[in-house]
Amino acid sequence: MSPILEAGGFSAWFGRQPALSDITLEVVDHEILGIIGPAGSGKTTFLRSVNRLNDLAPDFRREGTIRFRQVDIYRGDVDLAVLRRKLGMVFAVPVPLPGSIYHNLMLGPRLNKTRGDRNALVEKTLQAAYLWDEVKDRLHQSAFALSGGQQQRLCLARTLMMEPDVLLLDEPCSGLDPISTAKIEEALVQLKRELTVILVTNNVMQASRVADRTAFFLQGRLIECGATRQIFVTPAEKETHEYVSGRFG
Amino acid sequence: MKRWIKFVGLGFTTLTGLACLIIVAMLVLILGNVVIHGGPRLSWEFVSGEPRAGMTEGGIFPAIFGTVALVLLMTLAVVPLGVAAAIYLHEYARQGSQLVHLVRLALHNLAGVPAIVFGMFGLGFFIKFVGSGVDRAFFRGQLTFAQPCILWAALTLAVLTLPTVVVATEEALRAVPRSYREAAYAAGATRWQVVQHVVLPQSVAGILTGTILAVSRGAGEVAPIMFTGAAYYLPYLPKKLNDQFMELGYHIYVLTTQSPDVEATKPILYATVLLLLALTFALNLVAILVRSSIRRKLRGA
Amino acid sequence: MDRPRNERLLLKGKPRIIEALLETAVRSSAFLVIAALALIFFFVAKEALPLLTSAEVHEEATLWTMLQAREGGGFVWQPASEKPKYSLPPLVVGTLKVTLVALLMAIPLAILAAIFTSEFAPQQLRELVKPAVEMLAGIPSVVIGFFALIVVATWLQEAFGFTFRLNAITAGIGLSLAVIPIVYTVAEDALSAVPQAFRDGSLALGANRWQTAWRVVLPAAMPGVFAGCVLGFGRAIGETMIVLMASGNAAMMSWNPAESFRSFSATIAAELGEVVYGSPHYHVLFFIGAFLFIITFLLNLAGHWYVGRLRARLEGKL
Repeated sequence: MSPILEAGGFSAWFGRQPALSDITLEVVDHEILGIIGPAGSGKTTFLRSVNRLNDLAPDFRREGTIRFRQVDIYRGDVDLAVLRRKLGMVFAVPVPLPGSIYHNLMLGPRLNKTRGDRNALVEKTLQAAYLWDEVKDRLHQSAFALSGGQQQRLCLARTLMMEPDVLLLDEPCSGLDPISTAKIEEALVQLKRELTVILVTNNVMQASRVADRTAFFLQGRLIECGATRQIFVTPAEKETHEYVSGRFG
Repeated sequence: MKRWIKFVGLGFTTLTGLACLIIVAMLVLILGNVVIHGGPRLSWEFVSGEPRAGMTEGGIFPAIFGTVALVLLMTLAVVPLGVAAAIYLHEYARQGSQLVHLVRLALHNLAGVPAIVFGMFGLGFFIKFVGSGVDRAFFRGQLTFAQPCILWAALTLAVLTLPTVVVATEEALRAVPRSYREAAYAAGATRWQVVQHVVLPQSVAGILTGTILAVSRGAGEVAPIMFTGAAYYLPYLPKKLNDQFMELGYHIYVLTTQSPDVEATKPILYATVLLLLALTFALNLVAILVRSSIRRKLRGA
Repeated sequence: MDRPRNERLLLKGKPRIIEALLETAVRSSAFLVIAALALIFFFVAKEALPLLTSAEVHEEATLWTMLQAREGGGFVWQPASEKPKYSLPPLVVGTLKVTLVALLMAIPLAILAAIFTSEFAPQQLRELVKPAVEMLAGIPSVVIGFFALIVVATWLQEAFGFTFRLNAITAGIGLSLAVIPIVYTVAEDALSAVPQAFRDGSLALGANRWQTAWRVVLPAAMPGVFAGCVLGFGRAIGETMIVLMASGNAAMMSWNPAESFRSFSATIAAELGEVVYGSPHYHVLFFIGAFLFIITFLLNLAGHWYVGRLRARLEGKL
């Protein structure tokens, strides 16, 4: 089975500043891949390269390839809108847009003019994000009235509304309370049945709880990648060992 | 020695406070003078009636109508162009590029061009060049648009108020958080969709502010419309684009400087001034209120 | 999964036409803005050019003759007489005269007031003065001209008994009302932008508030204050309605502020309405207009460049 996503010798710079060096990595279908590493190690840069959000930065440069379903996503004729729908992203800080909860969820369908039963999809995604019970009676209230954890789950549901193939999560639980964190983690484990998840996290424990495989980034390089159990218990590289055991962070 | 310093200091501070007082007093003087002399004449008849007896009696409805029509046309022209330019500057252009520099420079200078030069531009470009071109192309050379009329006056004012609209719109666009845009992009929006679905809806209030300020400015400028379409007395209201029109500011100018009997027309004159001032201030006040309610909402969210 | 199918799913499909049209409109609007400024200059200059090139116009006036005194002495601007006389110096003197009077009044008042609101005034007073100045800025210049002509001129006449009821002092007072808000706003911004650390440092060294304002804050804000003066100067030179209404419109060659005068912009405003299209008089007026445009353009450029340098210095790039 070919991997759903693979990076081949991928390097990236912002202006003169190197951000990623020669990343070669595979993501298997229907897995949760955790990406761990200290701040500044390039985890977020890598994630944002996968959905080409880095293109928004005027001084972004890259070399190497990233293939989604064997298609090089950096080809000139790739439809960015379609790419970003198939690889949906949830940001570190919840970004509810002004408007009601329902309005937020409808962002994807509005942009893509999709047909089909939207309301059924609304309930499905809110259930998947473990948010349905809390908001089902107030779908038309402002999204800003929700708590931080609820807003983040709303953002997750909003992303799911686009029916992506891959979910890209950038430290989604940073700043959230433990209950919201647990709900999101549970949601990811359930979602893995339908799609693939790449989870960037600076919380090593979260990766050990949730990820099937884990990749360790350090200063823009991929140090090691393998089954989570192996990374945590018997890492091959010294730096991996030092990081997961909390020697630095 | 110390007492002397303190004395000088007090004198200096007082001087600055006095300067403020003088400025505020000037404002109060003007407003007071206008209100006292113009107030008695304001009435429903004044606002809705026609001028009679050589501008010594009656109302100035035609001038009000002309001003409103003029400003409406101007808005139709300046708002789309100004908003589009602001969207380009903020959402599309590569920041720091030569083109952006040039556009900003052009806007800055446009804002500094003397009003009378705009009037000359209206005459030389719109009336003589575009107008005669239109006449040749559509009216077989007959004099239809190659003359002063409300269309050219409105377009001249539109060029004059363009910087106001662009600046206000850009301010509104800047206030939309980057994270909103990123969320939209990540949801698969194209650049235009980000503008249409996220940025513009959030910017409507700011654009409105800019429009109101432009309208206020346009209603008050006389020099640009003196040769491009304003008239002192017309027995008709402007109905076609190539009609001339009466206008409040221009009316004030002519009444003040060319009235055959200054004392007799003074009441009407004062009342007209009061009306124009009230209109201008009301518009500015609305713009300020809209702006501060935006600021409050931004701070709250 | 075969590659061609994946490609079809991912690659660009049919073009979004309406979006493309809208984007083209947005991009072209930027060019329209630049075009507007260029067109203004081009069309004003176009009608002014015959003064320099056309022999027909040269029979009545050339740039050279307009700067010289006529035979018999004196500079006269009388385009409507039998033998038209065009002489620029009276207009130059008139423009400078009223600008000087206006700036002499407006700049000290505006700067002092700005110092007061940014350094000394309690919050309540600040919230009274700033809106008041904004209101002053919102008064249309035709209303200021009206006020100068009807009210100020009468007062001054009763107080000083000038020979000419409308003169540079009357017009200058009116003009200063238009200039004050500009200088005040920019100066106040510049003063407020001076870091609080400067004031704190000065006070900590034992200076009192007015010493701090006069010796520390004002010098620090001087570039911005100067820029405000430049902008005010540009406004004063180009202002039309106030001068048109309150100057007396007599092109007399005199530096006496108590005498009537004519300024460049008022000349254009007063005469362009009756001039014959294409006549030498017409081209002379456009020449004056082009001249005005160039002067204010250069002043604006200087102010813009200067403020840009200021900003760069503040941000540490210079």
